[in-house]
Amino acid sequence: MKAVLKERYRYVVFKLISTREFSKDELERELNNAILKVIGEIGLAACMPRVIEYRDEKGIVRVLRDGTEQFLTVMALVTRLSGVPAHMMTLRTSGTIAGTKKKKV
Amino acid sequence: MRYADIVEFDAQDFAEYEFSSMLRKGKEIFEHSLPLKGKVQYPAIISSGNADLLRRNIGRASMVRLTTYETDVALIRTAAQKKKPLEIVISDLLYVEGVARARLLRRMRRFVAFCLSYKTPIVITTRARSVYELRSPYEMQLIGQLLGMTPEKARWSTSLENLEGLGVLE
Repeated sequence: MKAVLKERYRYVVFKLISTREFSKDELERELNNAILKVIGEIGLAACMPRVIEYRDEKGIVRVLRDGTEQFLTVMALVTRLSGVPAHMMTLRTSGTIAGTKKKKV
Repeated sequence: MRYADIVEFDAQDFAEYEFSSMLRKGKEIFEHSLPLKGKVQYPAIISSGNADLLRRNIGRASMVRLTTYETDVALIRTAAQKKKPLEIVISDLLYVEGVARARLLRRMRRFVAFCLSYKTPIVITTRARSVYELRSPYEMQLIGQLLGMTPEKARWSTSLENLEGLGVLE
């Protein structure tokens, strides 16, 4: 495969502020629903989020690079997940999983 | 750049959100609905859904909030001449959904486009009533971009330097 055809991702580190606990799968499902609601099916296809890691209210979501900005905007507009008040706060964005673990200077 | 926000609850850990300053409504900043009754406390935000009323009282305000975001050229031009910022409140966008949110977004985008065209100062705030409504400066900038601002303009609209430069804060 040509290098230019390879799918490029961005890894978004987030903190979930909510009154209840979410499992990784549940969070991914709710995230997809939120994206569908705000930017629709075409928008979801552009970012295709996948929760890579989620533990202790913090996690990493992998999104397609071209849809990162749309995804972050949707995250800023989310106020409820599974019917409870919640906010997914973006902490940082990186091109690699290793980069997300590095400390912010 | 240092960032500031206006909130409607007793926010404590705002450093976590990378804000330098958090102005609490009723403590560090005061909102007055029109028509004005009694003494105006400063820094004052005057708010109304009536653009004409806001325009007539603009001299008494540090900042102006048009709750309907209807495009009123006279208000936008007067605000530009008197260097009074117009407030864009993010929490207005958060609790509407579907067609109502789309309509509000359209109105806000048009309002922002006119402000940019007339060089009217804009201030983006969350007006959060709880921690769930609080947004980081970066998230506020993304919403600013969604409303049609350039990344630089959106960043400046959330900054403390913007509020200080416009005389809202000293």
